[in-house]
Amino acid sequence: MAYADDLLDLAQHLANLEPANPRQACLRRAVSTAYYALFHLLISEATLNWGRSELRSELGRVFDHGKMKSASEGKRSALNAELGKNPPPSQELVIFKRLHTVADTFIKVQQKRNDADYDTGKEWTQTDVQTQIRAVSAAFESWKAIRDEPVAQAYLVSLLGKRARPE
Amino acid sequence: MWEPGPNETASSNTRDNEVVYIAKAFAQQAELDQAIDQVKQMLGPDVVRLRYTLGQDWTGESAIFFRIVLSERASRRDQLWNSTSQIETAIDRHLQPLEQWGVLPYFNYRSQSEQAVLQEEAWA
Repeated sequence: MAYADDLLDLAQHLANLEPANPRQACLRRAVSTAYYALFHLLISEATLNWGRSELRSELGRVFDHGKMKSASEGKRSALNAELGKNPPPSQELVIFKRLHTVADTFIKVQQKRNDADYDTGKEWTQTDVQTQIRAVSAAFESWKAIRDEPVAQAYLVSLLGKRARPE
Repeated sequence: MWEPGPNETASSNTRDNEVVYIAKAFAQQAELDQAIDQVKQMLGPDVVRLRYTLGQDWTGESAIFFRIVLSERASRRDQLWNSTSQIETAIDRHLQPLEQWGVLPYFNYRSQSEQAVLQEEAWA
């Protein structure tokens, strides 16, 4: 996970580069880099399951931003339904909440990344940027706590996206 | 036949008889305003202002974009994560933007002092 961790550190570095009067370029790159930190974390975790290590980076290129968002939405909705039933405290509930944090953060920061990279009319503030970076940090922490759980591994597979098999 | 979900509304018949479903948030904005006002009252004084826009996100999905001005206390580095987590949890739980209104929620924040400098009308 070193690359993803480095990207998250870099996002924080960019956000703090000019604390008094940050340029929009620094804030935008910080938001975008924070998204890519989570994007690459999930891809690297998914491809770790591929036995042939020399092919993992090639496999990683199969992942698509839009399909990953769709899969995260599906997972988020399913978890919202579960959490909405107010289940009693359990280890499973903790896992669900952590996975919800990961999927929800992925959806939200992906939109932020799109705004940061393409919507030049939007003014970014330190408050907004720090919120995004902190959200990604929390998603990292959540992921590391549940990465070996079956439901987390199933989520990774779902990120590849579904395509209907021709009849 | 496809039936609209609880968060969708059948809006119109097109010329080729296809029915278009739109998110309930777009079709019932007065009710959405009321629901958001109610949630806002639960958020406490750290939410100085809460505005929103309905639109589409980058993938074309129906979305609600919240613009939230935070108090200086809530936007301090050591408070920011706690403040924003509580706000988003409250909105998710009580408004249920996706499940009840058919729109994905997105949150944008700034502090009172940042808004004072930027003076953006959309946040005022």
